[in-house]
Amino acid sequence: MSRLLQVLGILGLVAFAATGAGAWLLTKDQVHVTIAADEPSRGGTDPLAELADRITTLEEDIRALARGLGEGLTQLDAAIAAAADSRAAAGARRDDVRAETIRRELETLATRQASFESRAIAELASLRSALAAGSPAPAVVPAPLAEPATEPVPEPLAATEAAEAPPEQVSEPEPPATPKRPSFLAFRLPSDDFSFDGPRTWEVVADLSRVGFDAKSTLHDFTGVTQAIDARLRLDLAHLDQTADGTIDVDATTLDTGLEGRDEAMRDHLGTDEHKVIRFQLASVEPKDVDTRKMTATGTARGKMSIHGTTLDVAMPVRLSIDSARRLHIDGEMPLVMSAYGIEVPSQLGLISVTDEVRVWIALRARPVRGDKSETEGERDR
Amino acid sequence: MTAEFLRRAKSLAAAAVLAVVPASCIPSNVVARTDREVDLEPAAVVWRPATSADLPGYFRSTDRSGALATGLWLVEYQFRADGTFTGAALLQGEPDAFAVLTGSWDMPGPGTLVLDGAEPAEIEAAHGLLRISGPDGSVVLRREDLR
Repeated sequence: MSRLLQVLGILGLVAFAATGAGAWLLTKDQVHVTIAADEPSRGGTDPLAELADRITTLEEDIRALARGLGEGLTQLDAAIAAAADSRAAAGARRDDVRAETIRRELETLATRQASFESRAIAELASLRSALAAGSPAPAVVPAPLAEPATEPVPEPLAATEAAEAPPEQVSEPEPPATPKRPSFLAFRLPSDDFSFDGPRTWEVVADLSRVGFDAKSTLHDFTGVTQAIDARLRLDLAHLDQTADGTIDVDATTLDTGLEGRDEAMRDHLGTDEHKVIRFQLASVEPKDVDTRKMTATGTARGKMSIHGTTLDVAMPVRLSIDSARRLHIDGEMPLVMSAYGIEVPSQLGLISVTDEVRVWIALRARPVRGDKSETEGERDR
Repeated sequence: MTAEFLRRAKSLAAAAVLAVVPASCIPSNVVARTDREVDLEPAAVVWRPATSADLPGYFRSTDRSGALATGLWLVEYQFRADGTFTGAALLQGEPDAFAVLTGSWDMPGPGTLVLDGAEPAEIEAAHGLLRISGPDGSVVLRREDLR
């Protein structure tokens, strides 16, 4: 039995080998074996897959761009529409003002026309009845023309200008501007930007200012005074030690002592032909007392005084204050020795002489220069 | 010699006296410290509430006070008896500029003025003067002739 099994096993193996050999013989011409490098593994980059990914990404980007562009165009369209609405509203407001003016004028004309018509009808009826009665026609008394209840009044210039101003280029709708109510003077006044604190340029109002000197002589004392002052000062009234400079020029030829002969002698002594201007160049102010609530200050003004061609350092105690008209008052006084400036002390025959020391004083009123820019020349209100 | 010297001395003394005497007749004219400033207010102006009879005419401001003083150089009005007026104001700015308007005025009562529908103002009068006051200050106007 075992022998039989061995034989069958051998026969099976031979049959398996023969089948394999036959199969190899049948397919040997169709099988090609090529030896090549290993193909890319699954973890490597597949160019096709990469290209496909890139295309997909591009498609997504294009879709996102299209969405963004669409939203942007929508917003742009909305902004354009809003701007157009705003311009239309501004134009409509302007048109409304004009239309209102025209409407009021038309109403006035209509009222007057109605008045004329009623008067004409009444007078005609009166004439007819008089004619029918055979009596003389009544005298036609012209009735006063009925005045319209609302007489058209020209719009104030400021309001007209505001209405006719070109509409602003706005990117978004603005709330309607509330027109500023005119002051009790009927004008729209600029805002009050006055402040005691902070640097500001002041221009002396010559018409409201005086500069002079008090002199003593053997027989009588006298004052020389002038209003020919040209001065501009830059001051921080609350912080005088920080900002204080400027120039005060006085026309020496206009100093008036009340006596013509004395004035001529004074001009000779001052040499006004050559040195027409007396100048004080303010360099600093040393503050003493500053009261921002009362808007007053005191201190010592220091600078250079030029008289008769000589320039010397001087110091003048000054008081500064603001009045109800927002003008700056500057008052000060200091001694001045004439001989120090090379001025010959006036004397008559050695018997009447003026003291060498005089008191120089200032009483200035100054206006703030708006915007610290040069102001228009010409006469101004005070 | 001595007589001649005495004669000359007497002449010189006489000349000196003649020079001194006129000068000694000149009084002192020192300006008091309190009078150094230019006086702005006309002396003793007695204000009274203005009536509509005070308005017709041309007025120009001579002074102003209060907050409006920082924005207003001057203002002038011509008030007409028919209740209308025209006015000009030189406003401070960069640059200064005139504003001109025409409108109507009304006085609901003595001492009260309403210009073109603006807020009522107090108005007072004195000889040739008007003073208009409101919350922003006041202006004093002087009547002037248009020549």
